[in-house]
Amino acid sequence: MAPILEMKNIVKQFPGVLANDNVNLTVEKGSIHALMGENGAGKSTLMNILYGLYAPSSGQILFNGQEIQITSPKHAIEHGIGMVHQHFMLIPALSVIENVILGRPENKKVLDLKTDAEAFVALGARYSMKIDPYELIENLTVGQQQRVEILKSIYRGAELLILDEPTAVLTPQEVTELFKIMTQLKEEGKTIIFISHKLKEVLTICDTITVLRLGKSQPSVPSAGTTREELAEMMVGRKVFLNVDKGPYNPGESVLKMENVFTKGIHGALNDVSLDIRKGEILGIAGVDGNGQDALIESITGLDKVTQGHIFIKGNDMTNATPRQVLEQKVSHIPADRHKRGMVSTMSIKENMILISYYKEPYQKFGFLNWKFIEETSEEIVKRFKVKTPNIQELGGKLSGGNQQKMVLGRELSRDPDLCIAAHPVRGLDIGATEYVHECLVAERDKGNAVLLVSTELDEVLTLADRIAVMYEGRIMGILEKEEFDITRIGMMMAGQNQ
Amino acid sequence: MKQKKGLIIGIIVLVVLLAVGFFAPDNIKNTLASFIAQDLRIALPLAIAAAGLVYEQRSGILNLGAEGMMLTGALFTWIGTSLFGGNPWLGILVGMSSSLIMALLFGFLVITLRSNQTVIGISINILALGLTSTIYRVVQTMNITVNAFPSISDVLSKIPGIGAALTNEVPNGTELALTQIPVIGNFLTTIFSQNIMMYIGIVFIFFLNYVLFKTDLGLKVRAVGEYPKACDTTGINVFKIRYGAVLFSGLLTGFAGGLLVLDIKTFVENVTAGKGFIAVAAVIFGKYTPIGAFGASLVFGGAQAIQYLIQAVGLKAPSDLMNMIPYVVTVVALAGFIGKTHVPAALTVPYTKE
Repeated sequence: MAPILEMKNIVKQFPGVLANDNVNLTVEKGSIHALMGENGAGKSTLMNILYGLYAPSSGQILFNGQEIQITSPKHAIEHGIGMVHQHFMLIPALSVIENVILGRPENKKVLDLKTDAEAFVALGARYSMKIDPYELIENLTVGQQQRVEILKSIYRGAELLILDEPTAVLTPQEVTELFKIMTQLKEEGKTIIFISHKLKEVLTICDTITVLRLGKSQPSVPSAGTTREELAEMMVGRKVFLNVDKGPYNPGESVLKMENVFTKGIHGALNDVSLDIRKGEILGIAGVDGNGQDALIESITGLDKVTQGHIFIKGNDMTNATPRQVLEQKVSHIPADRHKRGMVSTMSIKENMILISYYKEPYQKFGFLNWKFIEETSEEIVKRFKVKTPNIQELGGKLSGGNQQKMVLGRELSRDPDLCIAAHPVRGLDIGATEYVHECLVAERDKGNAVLLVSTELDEVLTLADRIAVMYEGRIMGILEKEEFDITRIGMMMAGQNQ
Repeated sequence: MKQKKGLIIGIIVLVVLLAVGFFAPDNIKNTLASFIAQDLRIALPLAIAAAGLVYEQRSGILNLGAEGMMLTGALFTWIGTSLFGGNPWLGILVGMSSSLIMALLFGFLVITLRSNQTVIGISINILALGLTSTIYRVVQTMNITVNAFPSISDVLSKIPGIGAALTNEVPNGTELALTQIPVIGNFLTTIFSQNIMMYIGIVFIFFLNYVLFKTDLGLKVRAVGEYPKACDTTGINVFKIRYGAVLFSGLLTGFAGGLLVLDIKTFVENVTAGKGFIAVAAVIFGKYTPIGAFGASLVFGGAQAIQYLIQAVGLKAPSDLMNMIPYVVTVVALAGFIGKTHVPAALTVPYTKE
């Protein structure tokens, strides 16, 4: 088959950064082509060039054999290129059909929504999707919104569909459904570019894989016959250990106990949450983002008020304690949003290192900071946790995402915690940094400390956790022991069903 | 659903009014009729300005400078009318051009330069107040005659063929033939004896409502105020839509200011006296729809017209207290309403193209 798309020697120079360095990408018509790479490898830049959001510094784009210039998304759509962005480009306050036809050049001056709605419903039916075209987008689930986005592109004539990290926001069942649709689209001759960093998914659904590393494209490989380890090595540039070695599971006494906790919550409420974390175990919290995980952490760490119920840390009633009281119980907190709660970007590394302990001796004496001691300990932590930085005077915000996370991790773990709360600890990190963070968390467990791990990446929870609690709409749907780990069952629970 | 609620309220109001028209004693009928006529007259400039502001806010731009633009439009309508020998049509065009220039300045600052909309809006008001007062002092010695828009009966009587049937000749002009209807004839005549602009204005407001919700352009305006980036990826020019909305709204606020001047037939310093702000309030109270804003304007207009009603029934109250009523009603209405309506998600957020 002939290639539908050829991107040749694409170069994109941003001020100070060479984002794409002679990238070549050839996509066969009617195939599902994976585009993989670490953060900052240039995937998004390349796709934004293809969709007309960036202009390339140099290079050539051939579409169906013809050289084309794409200067705006409008052009891209006209050529039959559609894109489903990671953050959906749908307007929540408008109806499905209004979103579908928004900005279409062929719209009549006075809209004929009915005709479009009928045609759109018919299109949906072809992919066994039931759609109410007059429903507001904000009333749809994330999965439904994504399907609307995909159908919108198809409805507007896309032959080549770019899906940017489409599975990041889905439950396992929704992923299965997405893959079904993708397969059907492929059978109908459409072409899909699938951007992902999930090795397993890429090997399941894609025909061909192109990996970008440091702005350069690696030669494409067929997914048949390629292993996860080989892919990871292509992405990182060295051997990667995908499986984490854990010591034997010997849970001790309870460290954190929550009894029927309710909160009203700024970020969603908790509804009758009870759980128990013991020494020497990792309790994983699985669930689709926004189902009360933030509220759970805020209630434990004293950031939100508990309206009912009790929280005990090592037997002490810490219900509605202040954040400092909680931290002084040897609790570490690696927050979900490190810029908001984990660090101060405009402060140096050494200052970031004492955000929690600055008031204690020997960090200060009579209100004066003991910089000599602070610098010594900071140097030590930076070294121990492999934070890549020229020196500890560097501003926290200047570090890369992975090194920022290592800095926060270092500060929190060097406090020798009994309980470590880690929320999305590898979010936005690449494979190399992820591997390191995971090792650290497992080391805490093996030392006999308790770890609460919140993650929306089911694979991460499945690999690391000794027990898994699934959250849905502020409730714990159930807590599963290791031998009960079953991806289908967890998926159902994530969607609010429990048998 | 939301639209239905408004419709039901409208129908109830109409039924009550008709009932009064048919069954109430004459003095109550007359008082009510002149109250409604007053209410409409006061509400129209508010509603026109608010309709423009609905478009502007739906596109994501909060124009707190509406007061200043209205004031500018008022002064230049007054000057323009006199330049054209008292012609209100040409006069109001001059007024609209002046507020258009203000809107262009506002748009450049908040759209192109992405300045803070609140700060710029307030600045526009200060600028307009100073500018109009200064210019007014220079030109106030001019011999200015301002003619009002022709009344509906004058216009109807000139239509060949049916004109004579629709209107009656009376000693100092014409009146609507509605007087001939038994029982409620006079009641209706008082209400419907408005100038032609009242009719054009109300039809225009309904037309704007239709455009906003039923046309491609309206959809784009609504979308841009919610999620401009998404619009950009579907090929909509966000800047063009926002400039369009700002300039259109500028024209309408100037028009509204002109209506104020043509109504009282003169200009005084700060003639708008907060009406621009009340129009902004009407947008929110009217749930960001032109018809809703019209309804809100009637409420605010009624709060002002109630002074006449109170005087008519012979109640004595200090006039300063009376003058407060519309502003108090505005505050109370908004306080009871805030948070209950969907505000355009990208309101006041400048857009940057990557």
